[in-house]
Amino acid sequence: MKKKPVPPRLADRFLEWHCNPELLDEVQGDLYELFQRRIKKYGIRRSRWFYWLNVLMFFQPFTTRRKESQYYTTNDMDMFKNYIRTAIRNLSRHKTYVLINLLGMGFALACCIVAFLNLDYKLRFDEHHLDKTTSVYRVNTVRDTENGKEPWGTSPVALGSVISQDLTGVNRIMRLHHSNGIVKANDKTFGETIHYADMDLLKIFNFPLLYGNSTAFDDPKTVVLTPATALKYFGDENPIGKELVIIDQFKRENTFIVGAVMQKIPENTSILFNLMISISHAFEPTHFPEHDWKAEAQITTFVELTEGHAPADINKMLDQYVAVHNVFREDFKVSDFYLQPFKELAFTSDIDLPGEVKGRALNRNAVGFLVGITTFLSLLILLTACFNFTNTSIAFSSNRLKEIGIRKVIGGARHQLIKQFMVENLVLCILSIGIGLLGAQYLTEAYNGLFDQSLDMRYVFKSRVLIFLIALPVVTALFAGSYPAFYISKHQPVAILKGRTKFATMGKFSKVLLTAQFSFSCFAIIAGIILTQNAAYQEHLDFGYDLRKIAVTAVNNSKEFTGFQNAIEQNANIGSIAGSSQIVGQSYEVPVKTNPDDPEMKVRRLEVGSNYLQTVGIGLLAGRDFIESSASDLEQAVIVNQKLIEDLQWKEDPLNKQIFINGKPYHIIGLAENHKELGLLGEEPACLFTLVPPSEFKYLSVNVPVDQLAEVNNGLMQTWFQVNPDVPYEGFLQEMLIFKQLYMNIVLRNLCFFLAVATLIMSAAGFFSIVSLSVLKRTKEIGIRKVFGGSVKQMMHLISRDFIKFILIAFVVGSLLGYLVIEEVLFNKMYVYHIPLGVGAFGLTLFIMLLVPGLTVGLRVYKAATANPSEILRYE
Amino acid sequence: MKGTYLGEFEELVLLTVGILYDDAYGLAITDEIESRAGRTVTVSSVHKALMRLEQKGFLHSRMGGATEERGGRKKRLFIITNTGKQALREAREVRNEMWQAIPKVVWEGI
Repeated sequence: MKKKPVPPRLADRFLEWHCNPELLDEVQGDLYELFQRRIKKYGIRRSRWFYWLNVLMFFQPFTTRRKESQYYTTNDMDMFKNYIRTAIRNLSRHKTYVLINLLGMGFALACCIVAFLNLDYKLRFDEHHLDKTTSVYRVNTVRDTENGKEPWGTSPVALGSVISQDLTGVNRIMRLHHSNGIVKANDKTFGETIHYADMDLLKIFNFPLLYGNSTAFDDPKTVVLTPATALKYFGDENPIGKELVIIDQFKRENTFIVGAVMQKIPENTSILFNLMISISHAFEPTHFPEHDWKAEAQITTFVELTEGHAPADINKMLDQYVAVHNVFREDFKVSDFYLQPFKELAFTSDIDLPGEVKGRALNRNAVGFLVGITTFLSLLILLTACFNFTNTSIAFSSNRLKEIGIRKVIGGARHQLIKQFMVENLVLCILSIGIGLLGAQYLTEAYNGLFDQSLDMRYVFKSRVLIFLIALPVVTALFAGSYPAFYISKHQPVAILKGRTKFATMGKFSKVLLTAQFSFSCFAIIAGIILTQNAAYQEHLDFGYDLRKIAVTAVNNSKEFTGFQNAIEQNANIGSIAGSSQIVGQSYEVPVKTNPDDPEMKVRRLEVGSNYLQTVGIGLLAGRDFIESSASDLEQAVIVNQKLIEDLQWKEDPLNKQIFINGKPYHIIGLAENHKELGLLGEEPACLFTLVPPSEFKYLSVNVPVDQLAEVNNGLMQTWFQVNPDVPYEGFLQEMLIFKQLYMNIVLRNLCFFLAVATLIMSAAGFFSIVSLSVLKRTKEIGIRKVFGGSVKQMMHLISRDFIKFILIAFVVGSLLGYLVIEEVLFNKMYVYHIPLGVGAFGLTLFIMLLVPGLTVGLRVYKAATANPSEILRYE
Repeated sequence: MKGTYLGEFEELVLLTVGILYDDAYGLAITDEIESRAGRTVTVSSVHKALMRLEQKGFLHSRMGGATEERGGRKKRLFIITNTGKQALREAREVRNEMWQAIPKVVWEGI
């Protein structure tokens, strides 16, 4: 058959390119018809030439393409409504996908909120005072030290009064100082830190009052309390007008009237106090004279400048006092005095901050470890959430290729499809912001409880946090949505509908990230498990003494001791009572020798009274306890513990043998069990106990059944005030000594647990979407396999085979990491007493690592594998 | 009617569309004009005129009739709208009136 002659290809393509598609058909058709006609008349060569001519003649403005949008108008508002409707329908059809994304993102947002609040809190230091204190400055001193010139936040006492008298431009000065003292009120006595100030300070710095009013400040007999202090002494009643006695550091006693109670001062304030009285009471002619340059005392001095005077002027005027000061205080050379604006104080108050001012007497703004860690962790979690979001987005949009194909055929432009995807993602993101805010409520409370802070959710709405919060998910949605949006809307509808497109496959990048996610998860799980086990272990660790059953009271002399002892003996709940100079945990080192010429060995010594060992629960293995007033016992009796004998390498019975403590001979009357003198941080050391008379007792310890400990402790306090009303009560529980160690343990454990759960959920979610994708790809394959007789189990095996590899790699990496970190950092450096790193923890982790993804895969595959194969194959 | 200026070529095209009733597409119109008016007309100028006429509202088009000679491409078929008919009538009236107004002298001489 003769081949049909065709017009010149190039000319055609040129026409197709420049011509308006609306006109293309008719124009090209006409030219084609002409071409065929001409061939008959003129032959093929001339016809082709004519064709070119015609095409070029058609290259005129009226035929060329216009921008697409000129050919049809779109009603944007309607389309938007359609997008929202489709988005909502889609989301409700894929509830799992939605839930995963929402929870993941919401949770990550909640973490970020908390981290930000924390940061914000530190940045808002002193915010309550800032607007009132624009012209308030602190007088700083520049000291000459071996390290060079250092700025210090205090200044000489005398400087204050000199400034107020001699310098113009200073409206008033406000001095602040604190020292220790004893406070007696309402039959309670405690040691307190007492703040002294020019009472104007309270007015200028805008401390709002709870009770009382500011006129009270002018009365020199007024004392101002904080709610916590008021509660401590006066309970719930209004303390205004009540009396309060203060014995200061110079042992002077004065009575004050409570004039006002401040509202609770938040911790992010530079000026924190428990009670405050006028600074006139602080001065003492010999040790703390108000106007003497010789005084050693350095105080905080604030000045308020009058309008029109700049700090630079005052700085110049202050220079004249440098020489004066240096004459009187040669030991404390000063090179300059200068003014520092109040708002800078908080940001120069920590060793981590630049421009640190040393020697301050004010509250520190500890920006540091806690802020860093929470921010870092939150960002990490957020990153994971975003990655998940992208992944699941891709996975589920592959599902909708058919819909996209049809939309395109009906006339959807690519930009419309992209818009549609973005809208869907945005809807999701907005929902997750909502969840994030809700979650943040709970998270903030948990955080406050855990780290003893007081972050407030309300600040979220006040500040730039809100902008950040809204911007972040929106940006994420745009990013996450853009990849699927752009990639998928590119497909030609014909290709889609015929089923010829390939689904987005999991690239190398995705695989690496997923494995990393899982590794991190694995690490967190291992850490969590091990730390939990460890914490439980340490809770139940035998310390060798009754750590949790002992309450201690500090005493100053034997009169206090005997008086108190007699008073509490009556209490049936109290087991045994004993006194000592040092309590367990406070031992000090002494050198010990068997013979005078032997090398010495350092051991720990506790000086105790008779019955102490029994009271604290250290068992006697041989020999006897001290006898209270035995002169020989006091002089030369010692009880040693097993470790000491071990260290001395004695094989025989140690009783009645002699050792030299600090060169003095003692003989051994008893052998005690070992106990953990150093808490969790060191091995049980060699210890010895010697007897001291009651006149040297500093502590009274009582042994009480565990469940009554709190009650008894309270009772002790009451009894003390009855017996020794003028002496401050200082009592605590024995376990407080190692409380910090245990506490940190619990904190770490909680953190790890939290991290483990969070990352595991995220990883599982990410995993779920990858698996869904894979299953989708192989739907037909599964269907066919089933037709040929494959069982559900075989299917699951088939699909999970791909992923087992990653999980195992993740497990290995995570375990290694976990092992290294925990073994090296935690156990070797920090705790001596810990559980051995057993196979159990790793085994459990492996189990979890396999279980969670296993379930995920299982769920997805099960659905695919149990589908009716005819249905699967039919849809093609 | 004011504002409906009908150029000379456009009028030709419009008339041809009327002649070819329901079979009026680019090439056919070109052929018809060439055979009746005896002048060479390019397909592109005809297409241009057709587009302009449709924009002015004198023509109405529809797609139809893909044939083998055209390589399977459709043609755009035009018919005259009522507005177009009105425009043609008016043009014709103006011509006729002007014809009538020419005194016999011009045609027959003195």
